[in-house]
Amino acid sequence: MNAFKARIGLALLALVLLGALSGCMGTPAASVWSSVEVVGSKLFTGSQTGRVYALDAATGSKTWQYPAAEEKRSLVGTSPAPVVVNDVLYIGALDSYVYALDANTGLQRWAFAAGGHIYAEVTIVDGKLYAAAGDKVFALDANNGAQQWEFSASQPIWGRPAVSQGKVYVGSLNHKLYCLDAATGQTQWEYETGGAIAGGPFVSGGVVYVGSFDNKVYALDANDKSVRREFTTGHWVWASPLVVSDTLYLVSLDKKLYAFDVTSGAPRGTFDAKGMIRATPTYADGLLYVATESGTLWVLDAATLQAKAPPFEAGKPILGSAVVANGLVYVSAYGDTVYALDAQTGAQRWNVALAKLK
Amino acid sequence: MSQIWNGFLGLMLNSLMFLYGLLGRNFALSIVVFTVLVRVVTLPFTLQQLRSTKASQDMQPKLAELQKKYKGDKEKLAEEQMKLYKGAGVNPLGCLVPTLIQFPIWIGLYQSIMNAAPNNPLQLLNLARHIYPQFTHLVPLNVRFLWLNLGRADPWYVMPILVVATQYLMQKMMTPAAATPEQAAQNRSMELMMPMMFGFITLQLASGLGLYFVTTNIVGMVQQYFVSGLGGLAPLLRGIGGKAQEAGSKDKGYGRKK
Repeated sequence: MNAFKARIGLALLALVLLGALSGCMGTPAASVWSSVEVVGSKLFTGSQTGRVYALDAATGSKTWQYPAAEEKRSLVGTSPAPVVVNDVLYIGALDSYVYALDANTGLQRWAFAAGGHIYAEVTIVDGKLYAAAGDKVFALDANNGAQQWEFSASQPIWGRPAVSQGKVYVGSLNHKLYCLDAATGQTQWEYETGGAIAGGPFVSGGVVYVGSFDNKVYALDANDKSVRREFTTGHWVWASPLVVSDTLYLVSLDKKLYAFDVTSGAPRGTFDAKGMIRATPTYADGLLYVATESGTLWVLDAATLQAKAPPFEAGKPILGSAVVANGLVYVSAYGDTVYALDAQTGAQRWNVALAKLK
Repeated sequence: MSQIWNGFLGLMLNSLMFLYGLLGRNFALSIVVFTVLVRVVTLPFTLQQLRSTKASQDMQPKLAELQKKYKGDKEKLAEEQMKLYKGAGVNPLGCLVPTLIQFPIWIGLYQSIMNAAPNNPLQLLNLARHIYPQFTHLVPLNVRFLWLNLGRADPWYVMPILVVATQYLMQKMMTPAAATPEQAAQNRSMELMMPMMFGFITLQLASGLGLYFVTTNIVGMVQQYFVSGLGGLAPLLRGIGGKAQEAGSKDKGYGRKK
């Protein structure tokens, strides 16, 4: 009888355990993080719960949300920062659609079924919208969402397409960086790195920079993919590299920010952010804003890489890039809380939990 | 504590990655081989469980006798039962150790599968925390196997059905002969409850975990067969076909025929 009771106890324990497996880990609260964009006096952000918000950038009060609060429909999750061009907001979502909304009212202009999850910001150049969805890249007419071409890689594309000089550059988890013709989507060349490419490339001065999970950033000739230089870090490089003037900034999951002379490749310094850095740093007015997975936002002097102010601690991971506007720096922390801080001192001006917005 | 768990998780995850690289980048095969290795490592505990179950089974006539003798006195019955267990050197809870040991393995394996087969950027970020540098070139893993995405639930429900079937057979094999009709009824409910529970969970979780359940059940049945025979499966097989009759032992179908 004792043995039987023990087995009943074990069964109950298994039930609790399996419940925990399915409830706690099987369906995580969200599989993405949200990112912000600021245009004029408005802040736009997606949310982990699949809504798009427009807030007053000065106060954080809500202007509109899409889908509307009374609608039960959600876009599942909206990770990328919204992109606003000519009063139209463009964003891709986990429901596999690209949306174009009126930036003033939140009303839908058009939606395009891309057939794959969208994790990266769209890129808009000359009236054409480029979106990475699933393992594909689509080129759409930004006015009406009409498809112009599509390109397919063998693995997901999670980074933002970069467009320069009639070419589209995009990296895939299949380790490859692709150069496509912006007009036709035809592959011009491809370059295989030693690891997955999860972030977007950055193009500057005829050189395309891309980070890889082989811990390196590659600087390739944008025309013929010849390797100009390689930069090595201590862990995966996820964020897009950033070039400001003659300095290349790159961040790594090894918790460090690196600065290099863009011409000679000579190192200019490093900064230990004490947390994995997934988001591309933001540059504004001689300052660099570096967000970490451990929830810290650093304000650094871009020339010396010294901290200019005490770091801001959000308490939750900051995985999207900061945005600087109106003398403030805006970030979204995991869990959909948007913070507005003084851009110089890091002092908090306001914060808003999107879930609590009325 | 969390450091220990992270170390354990890292070990499991990277073992899977190592096997994935070794076995032609086949994640399903890696899970199967990993499961067999886990079963081999935990073999001493399994043997302890099987012996304990067998000893409990052998004591059933004596336990039935005690139940008859102390029918109205539960306290005395419990005391005498404990004496009997002690005298025979049997720990009535001994059969639970292997199952309890598997709990952290289930959780670790589930997390490892979800991390190794990232379906979204957050899971990939988790992988970055645990992966050893020598395996980063394997990312992302090919998680396709036949119709399955091993990082997601089986859309055709084949894996949950296989889990229920193998768990039922395993449960049937493990269940000792009942000494009383009441115990027989309890055994029957256990034989159904456990498979249904595992099936339900496989419906919702990554099919890679289902593959682990199926493999561990099959290996467990093989181990059980070589230690104590077909057990409670013998009557079932006898009912299905005449040939299975030979497989059952003379002692009411429990124990492998020698």
